[in-house]
Amino acid sequence: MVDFIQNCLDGIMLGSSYALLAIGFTLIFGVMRRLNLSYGPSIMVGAFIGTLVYLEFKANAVAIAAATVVGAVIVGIYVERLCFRAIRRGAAVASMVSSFVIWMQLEEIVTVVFPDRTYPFPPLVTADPIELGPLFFKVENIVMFAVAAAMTVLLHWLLQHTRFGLALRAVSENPRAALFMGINVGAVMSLAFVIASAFGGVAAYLIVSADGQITPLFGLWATFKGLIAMMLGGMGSIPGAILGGLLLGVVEAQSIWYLGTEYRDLSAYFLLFLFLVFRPGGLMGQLAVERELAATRRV
Amino acid sequence: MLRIEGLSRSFGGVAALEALDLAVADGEVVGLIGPNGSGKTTLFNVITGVHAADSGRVLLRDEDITKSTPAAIVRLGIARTFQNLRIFQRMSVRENVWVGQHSLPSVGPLGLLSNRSAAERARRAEVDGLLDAVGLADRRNVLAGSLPLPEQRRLELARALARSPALLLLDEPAGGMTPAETAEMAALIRDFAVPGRTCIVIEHKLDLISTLCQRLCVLNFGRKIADGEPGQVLEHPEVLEAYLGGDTLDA
Repeated sequence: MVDFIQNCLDGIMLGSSYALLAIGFTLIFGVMRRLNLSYGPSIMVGAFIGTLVYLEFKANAVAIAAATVVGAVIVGIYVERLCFRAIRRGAAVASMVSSFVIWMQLEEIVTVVFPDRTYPFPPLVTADPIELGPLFFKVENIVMFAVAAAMTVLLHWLLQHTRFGLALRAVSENPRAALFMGINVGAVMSLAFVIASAFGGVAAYLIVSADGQITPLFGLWATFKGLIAMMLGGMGSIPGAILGGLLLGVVEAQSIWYLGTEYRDLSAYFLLFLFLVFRPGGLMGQLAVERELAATRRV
Repeated sequence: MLRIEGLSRSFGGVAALEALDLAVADGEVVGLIGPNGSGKTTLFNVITGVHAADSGRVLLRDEDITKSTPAAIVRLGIARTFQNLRIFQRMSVRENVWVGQHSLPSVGPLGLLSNRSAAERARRAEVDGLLDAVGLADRRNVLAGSLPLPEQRRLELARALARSPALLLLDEPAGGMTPAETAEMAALIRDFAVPGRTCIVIEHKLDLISTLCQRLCVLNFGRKIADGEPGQVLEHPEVLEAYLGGDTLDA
């Protein structure tokens, strides 16, 4: 039982970084109704910019984290300009395909600039695990959880208590009506991209610094984890992204303990499969899916 | 206030508006009527920048707004409601009106993030005042999507008024309402929305139109076929032909 609880707590901490990845995905999907497949690779480039700052200047953790986040935001703006702003209306597939092309481009650039398989990435904190009765907590995991929780609270405040958040929710629900409120819809969409990229940058820094190394494959990994967590929670739902991320983390932590490390990713895909079959709308989006199905039946 | 000169707009070869001229004076309330597909909503869409005009000009207080974006047009003081309601269903009633104030000049970049400043508190008090006036004060925290249709129409009216527009465009404000609800809406528009501002109302319900408007303009196939006092316009032979194939219109 202690193992189970320990795994749940570890999973929640790991899942908090997945939640940040999923929030980035879901924010873009919620506002633009389009999937950004190059989200993972964008934040991977951000993490490599952080690596460059570390390798070249032996910079401290704050500078590396800042470089990672700023790098992710800059690449995010690049993606938005190329795949989303240029193809804004009614061309969701074109945006998605072009974001896939940019994924390839970003990976190619990184493998040319960083030809080695892996590069070291400095840890955020180096401290002994904290012991609490029979339970152990890695400090980097606690930091990961605390930062993710703080970011989520900040996003909640931004969305629910500010005019910018109100504008973003308006654009997300009905862009045409938002336009008639005098909202600059294009600017709000771009800012949503910037916020999503910043969340991805923070997630990338937390994950890579906890791993202690980075590879160009991190982009693929982040895309998969973020997408799965978003699908589990329900596409376009921020509470869903948080729950989906935490659930994914807990399931992975349990499967690593009970089945072995090699089953970590397999268990994630199996969980997604179960959701797609039995609850395709995810934890928070099932109502919308049922409404859509009911409408189809009426026709 | 508003001047439309030679405005034309077509969709796939079908003329929705054809060389339309219309001038609306300050404080005037003009009713816009015409059969379905006569170009009434297209006119609103061109005025508010949703559709670009093929030719012609739209001038607001002598400023050419023909090529302005919808957001810029809202900032210049034009607000509208929609035939098919466009309220934000997943937001509360109060947030819907709150978002209507978005383009106020006093909401600068910093205002987008402040939620406790005195200016912001004053704006929220205005929102509550508007909700009170349209009879939705006790529904302010309810999700807008859960309101019945007449209340959704009142909410859309409150949202359009949130920015105190100089020109208000109402597109079938009583669409889908019962006669009693229509009478309530007409009283609300007459006593609260119209005083002190210029207004164009599209409506099929002639009792509402004749309660509100000093002037009627009739469109048919994108052309203006009559313009003048309601009594005269409704007796105009072309109007009778367009509406009823020649019979008398009952207001």
